[in-house]
Amino acid sequence: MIRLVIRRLLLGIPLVLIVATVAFFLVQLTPGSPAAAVLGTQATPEAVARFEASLGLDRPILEQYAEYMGQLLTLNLGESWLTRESVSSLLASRLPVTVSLATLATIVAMVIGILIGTVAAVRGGVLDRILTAVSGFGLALPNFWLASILVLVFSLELGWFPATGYVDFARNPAAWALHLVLPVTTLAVAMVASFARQTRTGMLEQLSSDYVRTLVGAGTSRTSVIWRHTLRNAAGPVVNTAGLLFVGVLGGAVIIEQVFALPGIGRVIVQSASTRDLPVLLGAVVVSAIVVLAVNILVDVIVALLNPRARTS
Amino acid sequence: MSAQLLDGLSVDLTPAHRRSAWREFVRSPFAMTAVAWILLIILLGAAAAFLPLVEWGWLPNPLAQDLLDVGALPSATHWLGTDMLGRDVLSRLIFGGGSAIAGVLLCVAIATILGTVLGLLAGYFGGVVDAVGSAVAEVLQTLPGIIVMLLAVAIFGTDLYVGMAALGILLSAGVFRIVRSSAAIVARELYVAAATVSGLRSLAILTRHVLPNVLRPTIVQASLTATLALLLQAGLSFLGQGPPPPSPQWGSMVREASEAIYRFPWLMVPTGAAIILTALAFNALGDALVDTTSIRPRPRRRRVGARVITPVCVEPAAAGAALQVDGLRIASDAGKELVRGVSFALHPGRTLGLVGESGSGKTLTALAALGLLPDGVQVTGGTIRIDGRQVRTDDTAIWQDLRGTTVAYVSQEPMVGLDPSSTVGVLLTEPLRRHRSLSRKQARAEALRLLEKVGIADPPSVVRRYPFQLSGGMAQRVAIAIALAGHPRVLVADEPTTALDVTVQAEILELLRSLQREYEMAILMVTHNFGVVADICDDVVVMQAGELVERGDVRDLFARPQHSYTRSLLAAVPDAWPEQVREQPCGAELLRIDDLHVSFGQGLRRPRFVALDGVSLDVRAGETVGLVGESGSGKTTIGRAVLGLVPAARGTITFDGEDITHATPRMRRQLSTELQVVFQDPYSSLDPRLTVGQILEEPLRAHGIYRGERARQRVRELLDEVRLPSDAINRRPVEFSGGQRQRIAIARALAMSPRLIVCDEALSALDLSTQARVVEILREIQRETGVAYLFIGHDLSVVRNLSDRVVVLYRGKVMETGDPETIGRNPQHPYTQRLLQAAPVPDPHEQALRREIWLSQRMMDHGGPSI
Repeated sequence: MIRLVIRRLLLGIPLVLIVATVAFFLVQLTPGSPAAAVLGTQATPEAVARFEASLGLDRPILEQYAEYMGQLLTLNLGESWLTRESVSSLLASRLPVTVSLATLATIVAMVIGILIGTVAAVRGGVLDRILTAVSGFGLALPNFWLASILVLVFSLELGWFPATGYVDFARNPAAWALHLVLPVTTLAVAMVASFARQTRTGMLEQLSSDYVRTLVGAGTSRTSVIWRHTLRNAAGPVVNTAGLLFVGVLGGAVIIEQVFALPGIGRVIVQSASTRDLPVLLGAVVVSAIVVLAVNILVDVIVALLNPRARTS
Repeated sequence: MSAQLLDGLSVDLTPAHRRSAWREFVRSPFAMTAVAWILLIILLGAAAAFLPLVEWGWLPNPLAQDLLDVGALPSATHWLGTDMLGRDVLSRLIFGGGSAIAGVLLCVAIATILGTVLGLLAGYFGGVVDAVGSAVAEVLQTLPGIIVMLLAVAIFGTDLYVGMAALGILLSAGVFRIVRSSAAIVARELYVAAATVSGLRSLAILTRHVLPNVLRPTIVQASLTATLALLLQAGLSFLGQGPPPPSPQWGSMVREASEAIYRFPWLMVPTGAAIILTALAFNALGDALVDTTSIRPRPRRRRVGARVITPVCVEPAAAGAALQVDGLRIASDAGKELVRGVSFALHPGRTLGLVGESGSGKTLTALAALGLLPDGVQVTGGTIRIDGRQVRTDDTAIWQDLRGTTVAYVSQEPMVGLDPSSTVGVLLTEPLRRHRSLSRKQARAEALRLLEKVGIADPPSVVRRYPFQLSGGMAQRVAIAIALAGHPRVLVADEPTTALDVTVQAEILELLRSLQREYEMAILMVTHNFGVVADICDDVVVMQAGELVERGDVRDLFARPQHSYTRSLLAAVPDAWPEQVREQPCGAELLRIDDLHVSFGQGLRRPRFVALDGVSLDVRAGETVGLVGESGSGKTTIGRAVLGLVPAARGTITFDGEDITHATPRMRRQLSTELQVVFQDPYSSLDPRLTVGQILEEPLRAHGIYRGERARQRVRELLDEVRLPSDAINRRPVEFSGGQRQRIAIARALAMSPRLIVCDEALSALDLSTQARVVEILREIQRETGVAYLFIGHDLSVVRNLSDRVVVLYRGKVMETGDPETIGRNPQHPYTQRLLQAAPVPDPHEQALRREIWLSQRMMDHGGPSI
């Protein structure tokens, strides 16, 4: 198991470096610089040149790249062009919000999705069609639209949950939870459908396997067959899906944080995109790649725990 | 539902082929509505973009503000109302929709084309292409789509099409993954190997065989990509990073609506509906395509207790019968009768053999005795009595009680029949605790005891293992142990030894016999092998097409078979095949294998698995050389090495004087006119999407010698040679039985009049009578064309009765060579002797004697069970 983690880490680190490199060179393609954003459109060419020199933008590209990669290895992501703030500390303070949002949404969606998928597969018939249709509807909902509707109904009309803002878990766990209910629900809705479908397909396949017939033939109870044996065998691909979906959730978080005014990485990304504050954007891309890598390793570990063949080979 | 079980029904439950699949698609309301909606948006959007609809007065100006009429609800002038600036909502949606769909189509086109082409190459060729492609895909899939689009916006500005193109490249990673894994699976299918051996070039194989068979997952992925692209694009413009206002974009319209949600809540509806309905349409399209091309039937509501069973007590309860079946009738949900009035009685301490070919209903009958009929079939008549008590199909609670305690089940394939994620210990202790109310500790001790009883050598070690860590024989012993856990009165064994090597089979049969003696158990054994019947059964029931045709004591059945079907079955047994009349002597040496070494396994660290360890043999023109061995002997590897499907590490293979050991692909293509193959599995060796005519024409067209009318003429000749009707040309493989498909495969092999055909277990998947017929055809072809056969098999009697010379293989080495007579009467090598002794013969008296010899030999060798 440790070998598995180490192997994935060793494979993953070059991945992050490649992402950083590609992002860096993509950014070099940008016409112009943030000079206009910072200094205003009235800036003279000399002011622009001075500004660029102060940021080190007049040096050869490879030199800038080397410096960037060198700093990256010490987890130094440079400074914001706009505020001169350290990108690393900016992102570090925001990371917990986004990660807790994305993780909670994934877990909630996975639990509900697996339940729905299993019931649909086992009961079949009309219930199956209904559940598939309803969860399919969830896949088509734009999360920003749903968020607005939820805010209207549950915040503004019913007043059950706050519409915007975030409270640290350490400060007030109850408030933290309340503030996250609507955002997590919005994100989870789309994912429930994917989990439900994956589970349903997997369970159908497992239920028609020979070993199920052997188990039933040995007198094993129906509940035990479904929940103890079949689900465990069908769970592998479902957990894998979680890894893939997490990337999407991270993207979804970008939008949701805007709607609910959550101080996460997503808002930083949107801001830096519109102000062309490239070090921050670049740093956010790298950080999100690292988060995705970490989640994928976790997923692999869980899948290995579920699948004895992966564990022992 | 496994294909083997419902072999005769496979046409019933699966939708036939493409023609009716499209018809079903067109009939599906969801699919057609989805297509209509998408077309509507495209049409309206295109019209709005290219025609001056506003000038013509057909649409209100989407930019025209009317501050006197803000937030209006739908009316005659404004069909969907107006927004917070008084602009017409419907018009804005139509203009926005055009660019939305255009962007989505661009993104999907890029993603699909890029992903499909690269995925095909990576999946089919593997190697470097695969490694690089997968690495790139992994990098791409680490980045959330919206972040990439924001990056694109930051770099290139808010141009819609640039953003969607960037997204297309990103999402191609998802398409790549799906196509790659599908292509890799298809590349391993036997029909692709057959196409390679037929002489097709890689490009032809990719476009003719691989691409059509990965089309389905590709299309599904494309529809998912479309939904994703639509939602991401809308999300981007919601964030204000799409094309700037006042240009109407669906996403920014939602944002404007959400900002005004308290004043004009209605606005959320049309703006959201446009996106939701379009996304649903893409999804529905994908779903419909999955359903129409899928071969899995929708899960039916599991029916507990079917139609009313009319108890027909034809015979009084046979005294002391452990299991009694009277007038059993089983039918599919569609109404087709599968078992028509079967009756028999099974007494404790005796074994009843249920014999028949595929489609006879023997397996269904056995499963009915357990209350384990699969979905889609049910008991429609007759009674089942266990220990004198009648049990009805809908008595689920009673069946649950009986299963494991009174009746137990052992399935055919031991590896697949055990839960792969439970250890042997768990699989045993679960039923033990349930049926015998043992504590955890007691159950563990009892599990060890049971394992010892079924002849497992090291119970404490085995109990911790998972099923995939067991050999076939061991897994079957474990399955038997599980079945025994509740001390059953009746054991239903569904072909328990068919998937095992013959030496292992002998051990398992002996185990069953000794357990039966000890527990006074009644055994219901389903089998198609008359040797097994002669060995272990006391009574026999013969079934044909759902009906019971003969029933009686085993000795009577073999000595004086009453029914013509029984007689024909007994005549189809390999030992009863007529001897081949050799008119001409065999010619010169055609194929020569010298000291061949083949090994598998990669890397320098991992030990390579040696499949062939210095094998030499030769085949002369017009001769049939039979290669026999058990699993792991390397017999299949020899066939594949000769055909160039696996590389040789050392040694030489010579064909007609030419060294073909390391033949180039060009040489192989030329060779394919002389050297051909018939594979074991008639189901996967024919491309299901092609017609029989197309399949047979393929080798003809690959070599270009037969064209047009001459090709069609040749196809008719080939069908004639294998005794298939010429109207088969326009039908697809799914419409034919296993034996007929194998004949099609033989016809394909004959297409270019080869001089040697490798028959890789070509008869193993066929019924007895079908085997006999196919053998007849093979012999006739040999007589007429003088073709040589390298016949590979695992059944010694089949190989002996077919070949001129027999080669016995064990663990990659040749043990013995000789003519069938000598091998049968006076085998030299101890392994051959063991093979012979283990194989049961279809004669109860003789088999009883042989068994004694086998038992005493075994005692001398190991002092007991050996596997």
